[in-house]
Amino acid sequence: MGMIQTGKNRKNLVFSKRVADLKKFGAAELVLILSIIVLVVVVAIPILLIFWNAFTTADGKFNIKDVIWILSKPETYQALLNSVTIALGVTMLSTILGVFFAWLVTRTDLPFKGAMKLLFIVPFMLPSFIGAMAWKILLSPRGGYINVFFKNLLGIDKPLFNIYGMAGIIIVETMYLFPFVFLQVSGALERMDPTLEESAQISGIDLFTITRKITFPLITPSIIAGALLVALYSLSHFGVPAILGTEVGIYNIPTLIYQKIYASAGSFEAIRTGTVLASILVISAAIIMYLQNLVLKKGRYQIIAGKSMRPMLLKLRGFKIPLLIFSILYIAVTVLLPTVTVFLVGALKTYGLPLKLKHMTLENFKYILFSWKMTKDAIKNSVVLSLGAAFVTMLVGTMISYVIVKMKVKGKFILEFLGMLPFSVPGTVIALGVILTWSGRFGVNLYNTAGIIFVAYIARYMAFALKSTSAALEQVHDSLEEASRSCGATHWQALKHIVLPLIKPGMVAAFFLIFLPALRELTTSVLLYGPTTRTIGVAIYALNEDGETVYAMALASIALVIIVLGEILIRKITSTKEGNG
Amino acid sequence: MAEVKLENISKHYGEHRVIENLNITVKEGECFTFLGPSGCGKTVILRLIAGFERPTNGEIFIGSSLVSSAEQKIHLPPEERKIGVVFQDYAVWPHKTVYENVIYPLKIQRIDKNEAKQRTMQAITQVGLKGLEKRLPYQLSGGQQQRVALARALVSKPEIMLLDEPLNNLDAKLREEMRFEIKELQREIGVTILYVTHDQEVALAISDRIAIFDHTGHVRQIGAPREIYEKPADKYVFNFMGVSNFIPLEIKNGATIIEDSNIPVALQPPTGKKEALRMLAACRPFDIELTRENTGMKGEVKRVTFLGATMDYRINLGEKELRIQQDTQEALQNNLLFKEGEDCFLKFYNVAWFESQSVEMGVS
Repeated sequence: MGMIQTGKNRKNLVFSKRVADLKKFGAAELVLILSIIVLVVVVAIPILLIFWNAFTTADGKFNIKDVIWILSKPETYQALLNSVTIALGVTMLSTILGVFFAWLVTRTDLPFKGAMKLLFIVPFMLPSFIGAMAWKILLSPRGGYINVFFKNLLGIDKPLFNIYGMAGIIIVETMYLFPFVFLQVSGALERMDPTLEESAQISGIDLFTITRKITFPLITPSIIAGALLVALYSLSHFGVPAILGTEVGIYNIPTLIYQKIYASAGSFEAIRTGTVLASILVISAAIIMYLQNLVLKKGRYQIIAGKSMRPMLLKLRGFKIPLLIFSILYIAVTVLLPTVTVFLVGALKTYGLPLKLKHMTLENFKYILFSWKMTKDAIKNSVVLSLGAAFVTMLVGTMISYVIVKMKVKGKFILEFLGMLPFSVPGTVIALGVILTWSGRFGVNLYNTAGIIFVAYIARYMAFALKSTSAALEQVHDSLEEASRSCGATHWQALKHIVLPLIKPGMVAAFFLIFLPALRELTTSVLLYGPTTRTIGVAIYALNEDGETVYAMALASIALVIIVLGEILIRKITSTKEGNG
Repeated sequence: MAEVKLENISKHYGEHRVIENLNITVKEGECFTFLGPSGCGKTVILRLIAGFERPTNGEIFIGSSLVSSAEQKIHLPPEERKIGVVFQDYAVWPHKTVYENVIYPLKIQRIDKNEAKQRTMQAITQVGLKGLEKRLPYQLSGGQQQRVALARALVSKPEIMLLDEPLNNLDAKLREEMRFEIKELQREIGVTILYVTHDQEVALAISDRIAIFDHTGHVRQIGAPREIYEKPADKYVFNFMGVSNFIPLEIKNGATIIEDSNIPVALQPPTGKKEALRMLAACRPFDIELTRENTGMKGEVKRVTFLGATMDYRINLGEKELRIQQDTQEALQNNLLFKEGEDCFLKFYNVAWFESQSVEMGVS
């Protein structure tokens, strides 16, 4: 019994008072402090160390001279320029494609709209660096299958298209990033209140003017939000420029950081250059995130969220079939062609042979899966690391989200701020920060072990866990937990019986949202892997670099199969969740 | 059953003082209602008693036990207070069936399985949900979910029940039914009920006593329903308890007239209050009779609305407007139905007198 007799038993009262104080500290404050520690160690310290390293000399004095010197070197300057050019190009192309296709599948009478909508999101699932390799195989100037085909067909001397270079990088990145715009805009178009357009129509305004004057201004915030996301990813993208740029001497910021660290085996000079470039990435990413928040906040009032409504559909008439063929062709060329290429080349007996059935074999897949230690280890490493990171990040993310969403404790704002950080930190930066933090500086040296990749994954994917679990927690009204408390349950019992079962779907979603991208991760692990800690992404990348194209593609095929199966699984899980709700 | 005592309770959120120096004692077995406009802090009081919030100042006793004390830094967690709470939004757990929802408090208390089962079924029957115990909440209507919440609060036989606007989301018919049931349950089990609402009708119907709060969180009056309805402490309480007519009057040369006019009124302020030169007369729409015989107070019918059993009038008295209601049947029998634009005479009953403040006269 916790009740206290008043005025009778002072001793009892004093004791109970202490118990109450202890309890007060025991639950809320402990969890808060634990959450802050995790975020500080995993996210804040690595990022701070990057800035510290960039802006101080070896003996700890503030130093801006070196920063300017590094930035004015032609190679860094050029890399910056390339990153910005690529980001601008990709953002513009993605916005045009994304808005056009979104409008096509939501506001016209295009046939098979439902299926088309799903197909346009497929590029999201595919790792872009594998796509880039496929395009290299198809369109490299000398041996690319398409270039060779047209050379023979037309009897021309020059390749049809050289995939190496800025144009190739921009086009291939766009294929994989345009779904960001597509999703944002098609979502906005679906949720838009049709009466806004109908009232204009009743006033006798034609559909073209309505689209221009009413629909378009209403979805502008969504377009901008999607475009900024594309810019954020493109600016710090590693895979595609690494495969299509490095060969011809084109570097962007992440590939230059990789090249510096890789070439110099982690010299002070290389780390310095890396941290300066990484600081620029962090700052520009933060600016982009800030702009996006601004735009989304402004756009919120205009579009009525919630249930889908039936909008006016534009009759395409004579354009219906041509536009359908165009859309199908787009998907066939950007999704089907590279994927088929990966599987076919992965099955070739020797690279360079024509893609005919008599040259195909299943031996490559067998060798990679069962005989070759390097690839077997890579698969095992990736699976174990992704499972572990997904599990730990999900649990820690749930705890942090709980503090942010549910608890009333002082000092919560620190957590809210720290929790925002991982949303905007690119993979390259995480890798660099993790190297600085976990290479013995604080007495723990994880360099060249799987542990360093593990902590990097946690930092990199914390944002996903926070997003998914906090969304789930916001759905659980406070009174559900309080009702449990008033029924006699302690705080922990209330969590166990009420809160956790209710947010389980959100936690499972978080798990897969981390597990799947971690499985195919390249950007971070490529800077962190050691002799025995290759991941699938690193193994594919290294095989490709070594000219083992066939084995690279065979391993890529296996990765694609795992990824697609995983995506199907997560879709099943999230859709049954909605079914129950 | 237990008494609940709030002593000098204050609750501040930063600069915002929601409750200041509140003293209330709720007697054992009483149904006590906190009545006030939304945002007056009445829900906060319930949350303080339940232990979801800590008071900034003051002490809370349940029975003879001190459960919250800001001064002594005592705070008994909600799970040890032995109270049943029914939340405004039901808070029925969506992943548990009706049966699982109701049995939960008994499971937590590790009550013997057979007894728990029997008590759960009894509580479910009591609120009229028998046969639905295997349903999940999304298969129930709002009213049924409300009953689940009620059964869950009842099943552990708490000494005190806290109900936060539990009838808010129900339709009018169901609301009437449920408020009757709550009252019945209280009589049956004898539990102390603390009830929060902004609906004065519900408050009058179920309470033994009511505390009326204004929007700043201050108590204006505590008393039994009839006492509050018949002897409101001030103009605010009068106004809160129903549709009100306020007429500002002044006494000039021994005659009562409408303030700042020369229209005489046949109303006599109560003795002892004659000294005041300016007074406020208040009455309900049903306490003014419309007649055709000259009573000295002449009005003009501005609008008539037929509401079925009652007729609703807007009457112009000088430049002011009054709201008057009459029984349709009675008016028909006595030929007292008035048309718009017609002249009429007014007769006042049950007039309440308040100190005059600078108030606009009229309906509020």
